[in-house]
Amino acid sequence: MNLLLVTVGVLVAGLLGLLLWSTFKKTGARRTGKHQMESISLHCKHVPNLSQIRQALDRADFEYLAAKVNEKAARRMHAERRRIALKYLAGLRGDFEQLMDAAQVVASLSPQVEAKEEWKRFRLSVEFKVKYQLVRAKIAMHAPGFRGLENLVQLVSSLAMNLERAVGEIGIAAMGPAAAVSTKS
Amino acid sequence: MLTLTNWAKVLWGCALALQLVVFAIMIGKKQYKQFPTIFSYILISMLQSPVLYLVYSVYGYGSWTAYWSAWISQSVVVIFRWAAVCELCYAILGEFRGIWGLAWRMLTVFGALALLTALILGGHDFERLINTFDLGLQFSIATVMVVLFLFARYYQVEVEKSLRSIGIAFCLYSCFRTLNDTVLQTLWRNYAGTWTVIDEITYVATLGLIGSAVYVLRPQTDRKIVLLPQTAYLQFAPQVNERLRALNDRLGQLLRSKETGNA
Repeated sequence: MNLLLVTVGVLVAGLLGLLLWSTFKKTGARRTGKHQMESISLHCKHVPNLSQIRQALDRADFEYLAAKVNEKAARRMHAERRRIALKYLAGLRGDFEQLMDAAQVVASLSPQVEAKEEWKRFRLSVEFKVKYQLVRAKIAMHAPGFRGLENLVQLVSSLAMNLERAVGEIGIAAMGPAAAVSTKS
Repeated sequence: MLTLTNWAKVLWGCALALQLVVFAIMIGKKQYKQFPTIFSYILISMLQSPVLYLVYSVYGYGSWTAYWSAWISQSVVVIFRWAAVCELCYAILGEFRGIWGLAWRMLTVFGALALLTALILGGHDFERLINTFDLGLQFSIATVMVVLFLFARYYQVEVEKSLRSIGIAFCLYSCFRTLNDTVLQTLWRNYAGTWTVIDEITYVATLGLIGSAVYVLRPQTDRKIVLLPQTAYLQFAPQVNERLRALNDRLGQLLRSKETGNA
């Protein structure tokens, strides 16, 4: 088999794989126009649980309890802490993706987009996904302390608040002409 | 001397019949107004078959006249298919003015890169040169369609089912044609008969998919896109990116810190 056949075969197989993936319906795939704006949700579901998570992952609590109980129970607690942290991290990722979705809607409904900003966001979201997996792997091996996660929570929630304000403003702007169209039809 | 197999003749007949069906549906539903280039592509492809059949009957399948007639007419068909693909891209993303401005540039770059790659990899001798161009153009069409679907997925643009089916049909045909052309480049005349049969099978399947898609295609007037004011994007995008950068920095710190390692 020659080089051309192998190279083209691999490239076409890659294209077919990407075609399959890209045309497979994404959950929550978009509608059009004003419905997109209405469907944006910037509510960070995991922020309200912050105090409970803080309690569950508090190092002082853990050290105190570990000193009081036997080794087996301490190991179980350790595993439990890890499980909570991983679940919480997954929830944060969900919130992050929701925010990214909102950013994509705004870009897709804008009359003009900046290639530089779009490329930057794409690069940063890829970087986030890679780092997220690394952090996840690190937590899976060792139970975390709370401070690192708290930083992430604050960032995601502040991002949500900023975007919520902006989406509110542009939602009002978008609903005006849209409402006019829907009442005519 | 090569002879056109009976299989190829049967498939040719099927393709022509399907082309007529697609043509009739598009006329019946007045889709030539909405998709004039796709309509022209079907028309040109339909005209190619009887012309080639006549040439093959008179000069023989293995003659140079047949060879040049086939490739010259094919180049016209491929140009029209390219135009049809462009029309399809515009039908899917055109209304989203902002991202369309970005998409068409990206599609051009990726299409050109795919074409160049195939032209570099393909054979450059006198006999294979035209086939190399065909290989390049098909690979380029397949790449453009995949990039278009990736783009639509990234921005979560809903692609109308019929348009998606037409896009998949174009992409699949171009993928299989690319592979078929590549095998032809390697085996050349020993493969020519099989090449025709495989090409016709994939073409018939493609026409079947396009036919069913145009049959259920709704007029595009159903879709109304309400764009946002430009100021929204200008205040939104840099803010998101800045936050994302900060988020990544924090994740990086978390990775480097000993905190996650301590119980």
